[in-house]
Amino acid sequence: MNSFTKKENALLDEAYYHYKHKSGLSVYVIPKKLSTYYAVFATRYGSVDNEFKTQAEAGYTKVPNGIAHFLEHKLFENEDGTDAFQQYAKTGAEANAFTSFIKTSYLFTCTDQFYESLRILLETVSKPYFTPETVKKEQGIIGEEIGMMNDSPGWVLTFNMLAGLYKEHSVKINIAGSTDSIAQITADTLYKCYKTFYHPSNMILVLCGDIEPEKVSELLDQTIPCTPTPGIESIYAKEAPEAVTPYTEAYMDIAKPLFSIGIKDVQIAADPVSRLEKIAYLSVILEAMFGPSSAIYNSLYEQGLITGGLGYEFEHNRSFSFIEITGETDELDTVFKQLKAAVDEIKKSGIDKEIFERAKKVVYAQTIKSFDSSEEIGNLFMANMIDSIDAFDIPDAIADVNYEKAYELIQSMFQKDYCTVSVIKPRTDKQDTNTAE
Amino acid sequence: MPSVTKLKIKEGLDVQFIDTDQFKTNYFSVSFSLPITKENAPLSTLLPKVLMRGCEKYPTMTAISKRLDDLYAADVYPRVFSRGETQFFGLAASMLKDRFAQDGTQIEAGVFELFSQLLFHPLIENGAFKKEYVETEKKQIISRIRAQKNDKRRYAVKRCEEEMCADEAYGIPTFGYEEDVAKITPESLYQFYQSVITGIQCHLYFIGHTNTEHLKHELASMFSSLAPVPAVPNTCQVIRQAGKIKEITDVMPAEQSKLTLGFRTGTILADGNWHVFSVFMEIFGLSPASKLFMNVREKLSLCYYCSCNAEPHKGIMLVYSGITAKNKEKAQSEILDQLKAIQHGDIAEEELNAAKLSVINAYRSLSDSPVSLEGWFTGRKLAGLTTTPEDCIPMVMAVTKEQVMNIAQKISLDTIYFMKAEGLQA
Repeated sequence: MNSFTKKENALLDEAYYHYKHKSGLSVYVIPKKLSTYYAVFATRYGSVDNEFKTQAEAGYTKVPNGIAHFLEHKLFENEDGTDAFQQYAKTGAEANAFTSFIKTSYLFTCTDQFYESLRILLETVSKPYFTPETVKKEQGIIGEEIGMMNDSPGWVLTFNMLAGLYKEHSVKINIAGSTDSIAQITADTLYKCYKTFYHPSNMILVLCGDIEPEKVSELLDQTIPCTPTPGIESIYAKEAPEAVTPYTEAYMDIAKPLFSIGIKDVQIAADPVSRLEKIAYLSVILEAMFGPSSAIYNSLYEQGLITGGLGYEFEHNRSFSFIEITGETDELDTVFKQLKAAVDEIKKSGIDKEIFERAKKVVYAQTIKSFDSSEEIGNLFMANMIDSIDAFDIPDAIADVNYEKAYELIQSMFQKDYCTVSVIKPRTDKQDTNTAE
Repeated sequence: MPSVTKLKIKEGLDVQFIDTDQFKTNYFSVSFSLPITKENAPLSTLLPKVLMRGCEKYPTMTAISKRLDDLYAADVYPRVFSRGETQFFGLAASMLKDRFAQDGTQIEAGVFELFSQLLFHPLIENGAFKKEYVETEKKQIISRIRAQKNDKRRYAVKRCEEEMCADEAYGIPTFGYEEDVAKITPESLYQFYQSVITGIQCHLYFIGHTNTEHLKHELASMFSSLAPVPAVPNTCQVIRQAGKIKEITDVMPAEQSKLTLGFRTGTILADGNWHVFSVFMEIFGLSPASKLFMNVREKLSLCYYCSCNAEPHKGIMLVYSGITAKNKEKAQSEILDQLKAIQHGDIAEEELNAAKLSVINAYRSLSDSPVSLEGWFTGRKLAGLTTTPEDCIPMVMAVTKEQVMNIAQKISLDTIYFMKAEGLQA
């Protein structure tokens, strides 16, 4: 008999219910007394999965770049010519979907008729329908989306950085693909990808709001088919630790130069527990090194060298790992020199202990703050559960971050050869293009 | 749905208190308001940013950041925003409730103390703000003004508004003009600060759960030196009907062109029937089930986005889309045709019902976000209304097709703004 298991976290003052549906689908329900409900249904399938096979197949299939995102657009269409948005319009829910490197997510928020909207979500994602005509129509729409992204400096900056970092790994490919790659997509390849990656055993459903778990399981029985699991193998290229190139530059119609520093990390733990540990370490280390209380952030800002502050981000998942540090400056060389000096100093003498402890407090507080909206809770759960990490384990993992081990990690990760710099400069009349694919 | 209570701090000063225990955080904000002018805009943008650079007790950015970290990553931030032709500026804070402090830190008391220091004990040198702070923050604002073109999608909407309202206060950019930012001195900013704390309208919000007696006491002491000021009337110039259509084209080095159409709505929030306009906007272009999305995107495959937005105090609506340059006329006539369709009553029962549900969904969602709740009540107050989102729900339910048709008929096209991409087409 299917039943939910309950897990509580006293520190967060929250609980969730987990349940594995007979189809293989993992379901998480986080009850929250808010006006808004949030549902997100995702598959472990993103832009990086472009070469794969199922257990039954002998050889690997290579598919055109951007196909996961294309499929996301197409799943909104129904066989009768209507689309999911029109169905959601009847319940008042606000629906959307997005594709990232490692997942494709379908979601809605609503304040009423939650179970009706949930049925629409489950049915939409479970019933693919494409024809050559509907595929062609979407090529026009996605072509415009690609054009829009190619005009977005932040997007181009990051993908140029990734191309400077990765030689083979598909993380360097633009999530939406290119106009050429999406022109090769057919209804047949879409079905092939769908059948491989949209099996319930490869998917997760996260629900947050004033929800009764039992009602959810009834709905799943009615909407989610039970079929044998395909057993997916995705190939991700093996990468050397070194970056491909130290520097890339491009020109766009912007006001001031933008930079993105990428640091590749090839030390990816196979098990989720170690991955969570690494995520906790990276969160604390980066906050301490580059966050708003760090010495370098304040120094660059006070000298008037950077606009709006430094940004930092990282991705660490089963397939790849990198750090990104971004900013806007007129004085690229000075900023790079000072950033390098700051990192070298920390590598030599370690992080100030007081700053380190403060960073732990900040990361802990930010985690608790994210439990204030159903959407944020749902996204936090999905981001972690999709990589088999339990979101409730995050506060303990942060508390366990240890100073000496953090120091070792900094010394091993911040190596000159693992770094690349991507720069976008304001375009003058002489330059007419950027190096982005 | 939580309601607002006015708690009296002293004669002429209240805090709008929304008592809700659903959040792990409390929200507190102080904003001052002024009619937007060429001179005020850069001053009110700069002032909160300079206040956040240092005060007597926490004289540097590092000292402030460290204090915020110690208060469990409390977030205190400077902000400026406009509603119609009124500019609001000040500081806002979001903080964890005290019970989440593992080491017993009094977060709320700490944030109030910091707030009070930042607002009323700024760092003063020779009767003016610290020169270095003023100059670096001026540079920051100028960079932000210049960097607006980086985001073409937003920039095209802004450019359309500027052209459309070139002769109205609304056309003044929120951050002001670059040359007016450059003119500000540490002395002139300090003079402005003095005028702010001694004589302009002040709005306080506290959203969350706390001891109200304690809150009143804290605020009374924080604002003891602030002089009460009578409410300033809303001075927004409203043009109900567009004159001759303006057509503006800018050429930009980009891959995608942007088409923005600016309309006079003929209706404003203070009229009391904005909920009808909200239903109209859902049908026209706000949701993925709207006429613009279904036709310009889905049927004609002309764009990735085609949507609309309106400013309820000023009475203007913008429709915006990213397209290939050669499709400009096609997209423009399709957008105008969809508006005409609504004006002629081409509204299916289903469309009307869906639009109502969407509006109600948006109203109900407001209570899950302190900033959205504050935004709602700030706008209502400016329009002289007291309706809560909950009050508006039955009003939305009662909207008829005829009302939507009538409200759509008042809309007139004012400006066609085209940002033509050249040189980088794929």
